[in-house]
Amino acid sequence: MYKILVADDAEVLRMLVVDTLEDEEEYIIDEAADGKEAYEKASTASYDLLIIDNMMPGYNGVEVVSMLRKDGKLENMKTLMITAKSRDKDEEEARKAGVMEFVSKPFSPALLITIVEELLDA
Amino acid sequence: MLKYIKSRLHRRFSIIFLLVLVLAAAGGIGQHAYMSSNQQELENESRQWRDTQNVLADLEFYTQQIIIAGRGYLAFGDESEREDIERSLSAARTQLEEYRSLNKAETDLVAQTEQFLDDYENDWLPQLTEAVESGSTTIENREQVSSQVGALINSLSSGHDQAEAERMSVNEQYFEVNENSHLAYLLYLIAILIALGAIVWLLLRKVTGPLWEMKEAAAKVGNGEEISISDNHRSDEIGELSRSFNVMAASIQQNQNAIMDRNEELVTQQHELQEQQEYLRTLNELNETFSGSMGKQALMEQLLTKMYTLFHFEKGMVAALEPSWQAAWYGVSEKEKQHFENHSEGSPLSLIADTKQAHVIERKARDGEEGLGTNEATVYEMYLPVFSSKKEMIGAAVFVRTGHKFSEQERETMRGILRQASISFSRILLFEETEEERFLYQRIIDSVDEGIQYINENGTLEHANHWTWSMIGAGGENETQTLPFAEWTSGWIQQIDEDCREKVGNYFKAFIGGGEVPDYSIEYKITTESAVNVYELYGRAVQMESEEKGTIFVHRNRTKEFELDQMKSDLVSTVSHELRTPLSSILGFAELLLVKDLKPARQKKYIETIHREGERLTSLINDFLDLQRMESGRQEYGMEEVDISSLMLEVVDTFEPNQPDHTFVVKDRLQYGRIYADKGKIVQGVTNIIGNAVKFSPEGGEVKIELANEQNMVRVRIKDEGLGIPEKELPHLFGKFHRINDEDRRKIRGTGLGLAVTKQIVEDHKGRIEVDSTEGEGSSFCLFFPISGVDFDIEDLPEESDLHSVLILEDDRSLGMLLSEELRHAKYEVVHYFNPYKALNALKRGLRPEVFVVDLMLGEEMDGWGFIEELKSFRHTEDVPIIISSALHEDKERMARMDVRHYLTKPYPPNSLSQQVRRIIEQADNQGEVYVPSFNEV
Repeated sequence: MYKILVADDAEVLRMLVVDTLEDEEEYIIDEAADGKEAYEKASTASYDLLIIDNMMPGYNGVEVVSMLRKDGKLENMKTLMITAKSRDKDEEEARKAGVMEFVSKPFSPALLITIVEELLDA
Repeated sequence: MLKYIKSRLHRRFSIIFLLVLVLAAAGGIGQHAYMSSNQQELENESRQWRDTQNVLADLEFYTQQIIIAGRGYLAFGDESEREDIERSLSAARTQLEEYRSLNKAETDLVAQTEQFLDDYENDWLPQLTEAVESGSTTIENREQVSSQVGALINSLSSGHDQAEAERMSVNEQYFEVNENSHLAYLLYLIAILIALGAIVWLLLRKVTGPLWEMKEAAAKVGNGEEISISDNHRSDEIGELSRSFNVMAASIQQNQNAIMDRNEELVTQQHELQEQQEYLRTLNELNETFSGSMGKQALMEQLLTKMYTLFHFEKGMVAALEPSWQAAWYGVSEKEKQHFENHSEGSPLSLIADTKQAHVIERKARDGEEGLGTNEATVYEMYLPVFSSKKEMIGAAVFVRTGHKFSEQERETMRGILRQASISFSRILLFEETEEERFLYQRIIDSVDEGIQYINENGTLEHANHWTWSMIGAGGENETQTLPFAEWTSGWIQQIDEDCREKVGNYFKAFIGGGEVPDYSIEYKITTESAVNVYELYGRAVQMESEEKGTIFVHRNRTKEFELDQMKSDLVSTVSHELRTPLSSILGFAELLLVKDLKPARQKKYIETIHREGERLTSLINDFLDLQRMESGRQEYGMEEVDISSLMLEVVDTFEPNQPDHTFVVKDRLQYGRIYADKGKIVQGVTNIIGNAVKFSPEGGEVKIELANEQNMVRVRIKDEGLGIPEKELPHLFGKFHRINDEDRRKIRGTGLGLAVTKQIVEDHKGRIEVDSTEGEGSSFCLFFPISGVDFDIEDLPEESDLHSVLILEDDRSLGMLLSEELRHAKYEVVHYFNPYKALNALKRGLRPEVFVVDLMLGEEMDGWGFIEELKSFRHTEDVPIIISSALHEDKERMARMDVRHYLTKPYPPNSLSQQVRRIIEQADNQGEVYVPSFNEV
């Protein structure tokens, strides 16, 4: 069983991610509604995967990831970023901060499952 | 001999001086000799008397010794006594001999003493010896001896006294003589002084007298007076001197007269020269004025002053005609100036303008011009033109003299001076034109909100506009200076952002030193506390006569463009994000539906989500496109007269049935509520605001819509009791895609475009929107629209507190509106409620209307009668009159229970309803009557 944290300020998207993954029945999924909550939850509990939207109020996805990396939290946690942008420069920046994989909106749930499995099996 | 002495003063003085010296010496010596011999004599005498005195004293002493010793011998027979007697006798004899030798010795006394001594030696001593040898103590003639001794001692004593007296008298004489000699000395000295004084006086009289006379004469000669000194025929120097003096004085007088004559000539010549010099100097100064003066007025004033110095006129004027009339005056009154200025048409000025010649007018003096004199005088007026280089008259000079003609020479000089003045005038005109142009260009480039600067080939900043100077930090009065390259660039570079400094510095440097210059522009930023400005900088070589002279730099402020670019790119990414989120949901859930085997409930949920997100996507796109259309000015509005009151009631109607937790109330005080607007867009705009009010007060509460007039405006205030807006968010509130993200608001969905759309709509209607909010207490949005058609004066507006309020509880909008409009015009405030329960709640919270207007056909739970019954049971409202607006449901039983009165017959005549309502309100003792309209059966 893997523990996954889904951070997105849009409730409907969180629902989509959660519903997509929940059917696999291998995951325990937590939700966070903004960057601050995501950071707090990832700092206090240990997750195997963080799925995080980049565009969030307060701290954005990249900021949350780099803060977590600074705290040493990325050693045991994979990171997947959902992004609306597809600019290479932004992706490069996010990779530097510690993001491992990207899914850009709109995304196919099947693709999401594949990427999540790949990340967790690696 | 005497003549020889007299002929020279020094001889005469020498002789006299010698004589005085000899006499003084002789006198002195003589007196001294006489005095000292006298004193000598007296001293001798005194000494002799003292010697006499001493000898007599000794004699007396010895005599007494002899007697004493004799008595001793007789008494005691002692042989030593006898020897004493003999010694004393011998001593007495010696003394006697000495006495005898003295001059003063008295023969009697000598004889007497000698007698005694002889007797004593020869007679008495043997007798004594005998007596002693015989042992007798007496001798026979003792008596005789005693008397003889006594007599002798007496004589000796008196001799002695006499000598004493004599000595004293001699001494006195001596002192007397001594005193006399002092007196004599004094007298002698006085005599000498008198003699000297006499000599000096004599000499002075002989010498200084004539000299004094000559001195006086010399002074007179000095003053140029006639003199003559008496010839005293003296043969000495004085005589010669006075004779020579006379000759000299005469000669001086002669010379002086000659000099005086010459002097007069010279003074005349000098005067002429000075005049000439003054004239030349004035001409010279004029020339300097002509070449140096840069101001027209100064030149004219100077010219006039100098002309006066040269020509002494009574009145004068120098004027410039181009580019505008400007003049300098001399001796001309204000009245005369005005007269002259107003009558230049057809005056001699136009004559000289045509003839291009100087002109002289000769006329009789008018009153006042001839001055004090009553004689007839002639006035000469000289008119002189000033020409430009093109021979156009650009100025003129006029000089007026009374009774003093302008000579041909003077005229010629005047023309000459004016010709020179012409050159100077032309020069100044040219200078002024150039200056004006320069100022114009400087003003033009100063008013440009971009930097323009010109540097020469060495990089020195030579010209710049105001903007540039303030950038360098050397603005104000120093704006005309030139600055070396290092100085101005360092000032500049310090102003700009650090990361751009090197780039800008290198760009500047590339333009000096003659190398290849950049043909591209660069961009730099200046960040201040309040803003970030972006500038584009480009340089262009400036060519003068096909030679590259320097560079012009232009700093173009392209902050707006930069910001626009930035905004566009931000917008694209935001829109992309905002669109992708619903799109993700739609596609994602659709895929789940397609690929997964889901329970029907799940399926329904997903389909609902897809539908909702689809709608959201649509409204996003609509809002966004609306906004784009409006912002770019492409939105077309279907403008018409719209009544805001009924429009707001319509909008509230769309909300009311779906929002059980919110109480909508419309408080309407509009006296004039018509605006010129696109109704649909206004509905869209206020729907956004009321929608927000509902959304952002999740706990429910009152949504109050207040309608009122403000100077030519309709004000719509929408106030909620919701979350409120944090103060820091207020400035960004109307921005696109602006969402306040915190826990309370996260669940509230929206496009983030609503307020931006509303603002744009309001502004497109020439209105404005304002917001006021306190976090935790609610927000208030005010929308202002200009009223259409009439000019509304705020003075006509009633005070809010003066208004009687009428509560209308109505389902039927059209009747509600009819009532509302009539009542508002009668200066009532109309408060609309839409739900009887919500109205009752408001009444319980303290709402106190003065009359109720109730529709009997209300909702399903409570009809009008039910509401009226509630009112009757509430203490504060039981006495408030109630007007029933419709009577379709006639409930006879209820009507019978209440004191129902018929008040009007439908259809109402215009204004009658408000009159009726006013009558009911103003009735003093309201008991909560219910008024029902009656109907004429048609």
